[in-house]
Amino acid sequence: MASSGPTDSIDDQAAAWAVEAAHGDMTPEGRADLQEWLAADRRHRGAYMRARAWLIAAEEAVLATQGEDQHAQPARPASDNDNDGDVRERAAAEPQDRPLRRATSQWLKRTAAGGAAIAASLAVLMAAGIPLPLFGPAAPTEDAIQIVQLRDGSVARLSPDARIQVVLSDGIRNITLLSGKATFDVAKDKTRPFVVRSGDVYAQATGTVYSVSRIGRTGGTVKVLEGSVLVWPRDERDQAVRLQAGGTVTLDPGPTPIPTASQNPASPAAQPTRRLSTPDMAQISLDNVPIAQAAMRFNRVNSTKIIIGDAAIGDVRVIGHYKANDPEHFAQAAAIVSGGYVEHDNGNIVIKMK
Amino acid sequence: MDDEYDIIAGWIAREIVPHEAAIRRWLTRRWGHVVDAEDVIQEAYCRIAGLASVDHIASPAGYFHQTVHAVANDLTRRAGIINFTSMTQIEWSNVMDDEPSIDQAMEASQELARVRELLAALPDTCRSVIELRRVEGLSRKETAERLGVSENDVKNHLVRGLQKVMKTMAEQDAHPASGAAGSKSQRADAGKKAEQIGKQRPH
Repeated sequence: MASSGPTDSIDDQAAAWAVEAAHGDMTPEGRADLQEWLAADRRHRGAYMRARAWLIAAEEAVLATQGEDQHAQPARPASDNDNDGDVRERAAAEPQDRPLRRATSQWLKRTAAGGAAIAASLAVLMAAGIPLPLFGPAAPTEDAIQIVQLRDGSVARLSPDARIQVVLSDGIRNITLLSGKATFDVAKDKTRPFVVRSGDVYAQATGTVYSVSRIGRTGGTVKVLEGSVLVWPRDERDQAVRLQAGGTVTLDPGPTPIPTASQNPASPAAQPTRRLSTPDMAQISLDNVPIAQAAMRFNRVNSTKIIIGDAAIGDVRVIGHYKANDPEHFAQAAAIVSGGYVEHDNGNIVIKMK
Repeated sequence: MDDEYDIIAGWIAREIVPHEAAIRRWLTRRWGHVVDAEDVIQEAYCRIAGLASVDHIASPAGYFHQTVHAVANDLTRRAGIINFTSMTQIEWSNVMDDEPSIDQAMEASQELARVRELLAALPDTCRSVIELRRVEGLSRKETAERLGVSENDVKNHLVRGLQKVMKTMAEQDAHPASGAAGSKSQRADAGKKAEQIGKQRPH
């Protein structure tokens, strides 16, 4: 069945391309070949999508049993079934030699690298546009992950310094991350959202896998391994950003309510890109918002205006989390998503159709 | 295009793939006498691949179900077959996900069984490759060194594993419930058939 050669079935060819795209080092020529193959036949496109999905499903199945193996190990605290509602102190940690975290960070890096090449994906833009402090050298915790099963069936993997507080009630599952980092494998329950709070940052899901790391007093980093998660600071739930698998977002709202309008409009710098280093971390969250509307939000707080050169671009919806003081970055991202390009005109940023 | 694929493929892997078996069975039962199930499924994936975003889809299984239904309708219409199973005109543009469909909520145990099944189809070496790549986070080169094979072999193991998984799943899916529908014996061989069709396509 799995013969090799040019007479392979569409499914077989699609499988080869799917692996090449996910595990190979695609050269520009390779990409061109793939595009050509995809363009040759509608069925190729369907088969390719299906193959990629099955590859991911297979990988996630393998990863899932890794997690299962961990359950099987005596790493679970004795009283895992009846003590939610209290602060969970960490019990003696079992040595855990599976560097899961490394795997996921590698995966993310791969995603980000892919993004640099073609970058049509929102989640990738998000991952690339935001600092990822998790990947620093601060990973001595890798070997001692504590696994806690919550009463709703969810599983939490805690870093050695992690402490969580769990309150499960009828309408909601509230977890507070007091310190450290925790990865949650959330049991599906659409009627009870699973909300992890880290400082003033909230991350909500119904059934998915994601990790939250505490950043300072008010912040948190949310990384989604599977499914999607809504993330928002403080009471801004209506402006929550939806993170998809592979996405990471770090929010640190700081001690005061988000200073969205605290830009300095008196500095019409010609190169807004370089203003990234402003200590002020005000961000604009876009969850499926038309570009036109998003641009208005940027324009409200920046002297450098974004102008939509084509109504069709304005209608395209974007998702992501962007620095409020970096309209250039947003414009570039929006242009990629909408198939347009960015021009500069009189100090303004114009997004035009190609 | 590739990265859109990543997101949508991930979504499909989690939301659609688990239901592919049930949908294929339904399709075979209901439409198997007029269309080829694999044709329809592939076209349905193609349409989903064309989505710019999947965020608006609250019920993926229902969405997939309706897409498949719409594809089957289109294919029969195009083939000039008078389709007595045609219900209402469900056009692609109308395919929304408001139908709380069939097996939308999968039991956890079912899900686990599915994962087991999938893993059973996965050759050991392929599984090792995935573990090394995704769990230990090794590069392809490191993986090759660890397994004592060439980098190309690493890829080939993955390709063959994936091919096997897809075929096994398609064949299994076609078997269990096809008894009632099976006026054509070839249907029981969905996987193999898909292969033949692939070769016959002129374009």
